[in-house]
Amino acid sequence: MIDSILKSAIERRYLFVSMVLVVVGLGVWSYRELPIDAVPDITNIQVQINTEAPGYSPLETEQRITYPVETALAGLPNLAYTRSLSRYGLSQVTVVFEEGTDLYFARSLINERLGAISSILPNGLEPEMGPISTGLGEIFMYTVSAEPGAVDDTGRPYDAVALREIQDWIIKPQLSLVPGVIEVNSIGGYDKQYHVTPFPEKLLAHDLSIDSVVDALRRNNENRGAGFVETGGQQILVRSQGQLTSIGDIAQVVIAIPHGNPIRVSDVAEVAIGRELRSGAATQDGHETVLGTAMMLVGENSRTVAAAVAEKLSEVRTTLPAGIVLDSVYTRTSLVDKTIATVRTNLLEGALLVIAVLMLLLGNWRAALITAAVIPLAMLATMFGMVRTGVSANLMSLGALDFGLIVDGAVIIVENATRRLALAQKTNGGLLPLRQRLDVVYDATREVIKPSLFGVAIITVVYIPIFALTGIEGKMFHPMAATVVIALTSAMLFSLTVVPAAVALFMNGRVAERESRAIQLAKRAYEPALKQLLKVRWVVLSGALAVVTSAAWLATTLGAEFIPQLDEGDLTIQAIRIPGTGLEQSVQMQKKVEAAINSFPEVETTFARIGTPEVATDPMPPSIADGFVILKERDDWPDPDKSKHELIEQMEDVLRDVPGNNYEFTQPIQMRFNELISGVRSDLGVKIFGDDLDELNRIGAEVLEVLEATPGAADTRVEQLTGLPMMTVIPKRVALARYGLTVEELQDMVAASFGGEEAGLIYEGDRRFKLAVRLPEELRQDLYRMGSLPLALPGGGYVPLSEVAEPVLAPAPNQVSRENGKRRIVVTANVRDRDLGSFVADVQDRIAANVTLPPGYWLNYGGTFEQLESATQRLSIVVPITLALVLGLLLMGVGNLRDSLVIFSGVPFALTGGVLALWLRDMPLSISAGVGFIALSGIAVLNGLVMVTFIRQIWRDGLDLAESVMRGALTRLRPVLMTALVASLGFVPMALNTTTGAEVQRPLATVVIGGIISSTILTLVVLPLLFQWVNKGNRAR
Amino acid sequence: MKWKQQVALVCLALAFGGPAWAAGDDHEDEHEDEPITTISPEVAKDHGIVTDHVGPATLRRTVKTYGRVVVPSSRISHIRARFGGLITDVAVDVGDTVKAGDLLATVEANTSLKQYQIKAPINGLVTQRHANAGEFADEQALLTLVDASELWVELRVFEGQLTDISTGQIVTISSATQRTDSVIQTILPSMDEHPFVIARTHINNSTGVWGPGMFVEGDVVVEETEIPLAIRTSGLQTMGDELGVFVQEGDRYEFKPLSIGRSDGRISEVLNGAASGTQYVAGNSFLIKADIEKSNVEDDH
Repeated sequence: MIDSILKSAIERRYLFVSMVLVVVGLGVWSYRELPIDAVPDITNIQVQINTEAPGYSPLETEQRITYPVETALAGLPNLAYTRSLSRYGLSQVTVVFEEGTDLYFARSLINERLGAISSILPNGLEPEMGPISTGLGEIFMYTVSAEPGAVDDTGRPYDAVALREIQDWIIKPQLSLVPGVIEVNSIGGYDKQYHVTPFPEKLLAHDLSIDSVVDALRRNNENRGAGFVETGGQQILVRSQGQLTSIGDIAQVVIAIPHGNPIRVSDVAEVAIGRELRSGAATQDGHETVLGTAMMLVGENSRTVAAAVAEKLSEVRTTLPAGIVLDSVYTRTSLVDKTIATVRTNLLEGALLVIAVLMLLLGNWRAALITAAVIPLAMLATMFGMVRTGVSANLMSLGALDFGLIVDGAVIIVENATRRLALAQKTNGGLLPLRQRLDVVYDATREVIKPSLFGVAIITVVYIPIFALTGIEGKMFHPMAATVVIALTSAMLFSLTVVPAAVALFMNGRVAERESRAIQLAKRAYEPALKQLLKVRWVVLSGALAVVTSAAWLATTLGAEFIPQLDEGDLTIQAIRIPGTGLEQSVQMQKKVEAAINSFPEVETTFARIGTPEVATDPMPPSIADGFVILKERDDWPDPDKSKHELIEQMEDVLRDVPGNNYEFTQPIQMRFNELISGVRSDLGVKIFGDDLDELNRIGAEVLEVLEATPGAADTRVEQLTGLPMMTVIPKRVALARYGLTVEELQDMVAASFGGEEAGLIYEGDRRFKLAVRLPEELRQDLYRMGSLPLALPGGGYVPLSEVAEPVLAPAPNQVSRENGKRRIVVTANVRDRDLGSFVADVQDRIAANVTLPPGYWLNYGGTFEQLESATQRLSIVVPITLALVLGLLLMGVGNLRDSLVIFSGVPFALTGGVLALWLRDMPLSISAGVGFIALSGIAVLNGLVMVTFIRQIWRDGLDLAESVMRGALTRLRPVLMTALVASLGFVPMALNTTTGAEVQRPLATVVIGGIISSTILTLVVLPLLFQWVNKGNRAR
Repeated sequence: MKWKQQVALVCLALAFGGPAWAAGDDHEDEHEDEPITTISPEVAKDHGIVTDHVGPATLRRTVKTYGRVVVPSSRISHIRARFGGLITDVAVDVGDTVKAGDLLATVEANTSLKQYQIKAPINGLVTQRHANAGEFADEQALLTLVDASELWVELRVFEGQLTDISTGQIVTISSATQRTDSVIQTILPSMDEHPFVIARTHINNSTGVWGPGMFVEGDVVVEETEIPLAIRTSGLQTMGDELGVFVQEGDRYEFKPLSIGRSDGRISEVLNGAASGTQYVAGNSFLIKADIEKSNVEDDH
């Protein structure tokens, strides 16, 4: 079949070459469709269901909201698991689906289930699904602030309420319209509210209650349509207007008319613009601000969406009141541009190097151009393939593309064709007639097509184990493997079709038989060296063995790392404070943290989200702040060579002196991934499931003790469920009854006094603001006097709160965590100086012996050890199978086991070079490096295959063994050197680059370059020796 | 009042220092770490950490009550005719001020047909008049005289407050606009089986700014004593399940559990745990607690 394809490619060369245009067209179209981002999206398929429940404590939230929502979701198709969080005022259920589930399908299923439980949930609470976005979704952030001295139209300076109003009603509606933006989330400032704050003693004086104020406001704040009348042929609409529009209006509302004297709101209360009880705040450079975050719809192109948001923002600026500053503080565009620029430079420089090498070694510019043409073609075809398979272009997916590898197949074919054409022209004594030229090309291609196809097939096959990775590793590396496989396959197709056709079409001039000077020099050095080495065969072979063994030992001394982290350029510093820290306290502490960060000259700006934003995409308690640090361009640093690591260390030093905070240094995207994936991130997590929180805490403490006592345990911790200070008002039922009060009346009263009671909306044009009734701030704050708060009695008169209820202050659950519909607590530990497997087994034994679980409670072991175990298990099956597959392919290619094994010996030798290169550059082993090793095995085999096939061919043609080895090695010197040089040079820019994103590609490129150097030495030196040795005494077959 | 003794202190610490609680009682290991931290003086100043020493202070505990202003029963007089008869003259009108002995009205008795005079029994203001010349005076009150130069305030004292309140205590009476000090004179049970008792005080109304029927607030000083060892309540924090303060020595801050006695919300009495003159953190003490406990927290949201 291959022959017939080749034949038709050469015969119908015009057709085949013009097919290139189709590829170009498809490629260009794909480029426009291709989603581009900085890193692959590792978020699992999940839907967040947030229910805001103002005033609900964690326990009530769990009981009334989380539980019904979870129960409703049980048994959804493709459901992987659910987990939930019940906090003050917020229930969040996260539903994770099996990989491959359609997100929109999942959401519509959830929507259906949520509709069914709306009657079960407390009145007025509405579960909402989080935005259709992923960990890469937060693409743009901006702050809204006022210039010093700026005043609004009433002449007052803008405050946090006014800024939030501008964000909510001017900026957000405009940004929400940008295509690709699914949500604009706000945090910081205060929602504007109209507050009516009645004084208890004034209410008592008139025998009124807070309820009566609320009622009065509700009854006096409505517009009604009243139909129409037709008069004189004209239709006139009738309406009655009653909406309150201003503070003056509200103050004039009459609450009651005892003895004919109207009592107005202003008689018993103050009316003012007030502040909501907020759950989140934002700061920038040491002062409070309002922070907006644009979130991208899943699957959109982050670069274009972020750019569109930025553009819209500059439009929005013109619509803002004078003195309001809209500052874009974070945009994904810059990161994506930088990383894509890195990838592009790497690819371009690699491609240029490859072309230069081809020119130099082939000594024929037409041949070099034909080979080089495979690079853009394969690239375009790859883009088409990526669009079809839904792989996005990013650092990881494009990071392993080596144009050297891609052109390998073409190099071998073109090289052979050039050589054969030159030979034929020499025998013919001039240019060949067309027919003869086509035949020569056909023969030359046929001669090497099999080994080169097999070689490429082998390189492709070795990427298969990568597809066996699951979870986060899988999501990181599948795109890479997919891209490489697509690129190699398309290059293979081109080598089979377009390349021979182009050679037949364009190589019609004179082909110099003389080899290029570089090759001549190389041959002159290689021949005597090989002769000498053949004499001291045993020394060479044992030397090689020694090198491989020592490299194997060296590999064990290299450090290990998961994935080299992409340097996003910016930092996030999470400041974590003790549970129970109030929001305002947290804001004050964050201001100090920011002042410390700003003292670094490298910092452009820093801003933070504290607590939970409006849409609870990240439900943090007020005690935690996500601080973003935007760094200046490196050129603007006092010391542009300072490493980021150094900067972080210095920051840690300075921040350690800011009291009351713990810090976690990450990066924006990385942090978001962590938040969304949010499983157990330690080596071992013991999850305890059960009903009673106290009991769970008790068992958690016991398990913690067991873990601490187990040798090898480090960083042991128990999840903090408790620690929220709570004032519980416990009704005295008998006393209540004596005063004619019900528990509900008491609760309403307490809720209205402290939390406030909503009494309607105030409309200002399009804008609408809540009208709330609650106690004056100084009374609300004074918990000491809570007991003397007067409660109005139904028949007039009052009673102090302490008479009918007992306020008790006690720590209460901070949050209730649930998983798969059951309350749980997690105890985590990392393992040091001990292997994970035996540690886990030990822990399981110890827990079984020392911890007795009451009925209805059970344990579950999780953590990264699980993934590690499953990955190890999977790889220990897949890797041998792959190696066997490679060997099988070799067997098919060369037809005998002995030769296959000889070729296969290239694999350990190639790996040796990779290990050495890592060691030289002081790099740890990582999955990226591992992928490099995988690619290496393929490349090593390709060269050996070409060499061995050729030697055997000559040998079969009648020469004796030693002569064949010598002749074969010399003839194949050029292609081997070429493939090796192009493959390694293609990676050189990647290995040396230091711009944004290079750190992810660097280990891979380093491994490949080192490995190719060692495997080339093997192919040129050890392989001929080995071949001669194993075939000694045999006859050519 | 029991709940206050134990709980109010903590409430106060919360109200001032921000809500704070220990990382959970189940954390035995917490106590292994010394509850100590060091903060440099500059940083402390920058963060608003204020210190004070343990020493004598005046504890002034108050209880809030509400009530109304009433006219003392001795200062209201409903004038009636002694003998029924025809009113021949009324000398005063509503709003007139009269002195004791002033002529109010003249009545011609039915029985004797003799005219007799009705004179003012007290100083006061004529507030009601149901009599005109020519009308018949019978059992009804003809005039009402009220002397509002001194008024009573009747404060409602509920069961829970009763143990604290006794006669002789100073009480600050305040209305929306006025404020005056007085002393509780009597405590008397309320009429009509109301579930509260009445604490009565006098207020001077010579200027006339108070009026009967006004609703007022009364802050009763139930305790005012010099205590030798006192701390500001804003310095109190809980660590684990112990209440205490952070003692400062140079840039070292150490948690000292205290046993706390009485408190008025502003200051608290130290029964045990700290000597006089000990330097402790009185302002932004929560920050010290946060700094000491921070090693126990992690981001587990």
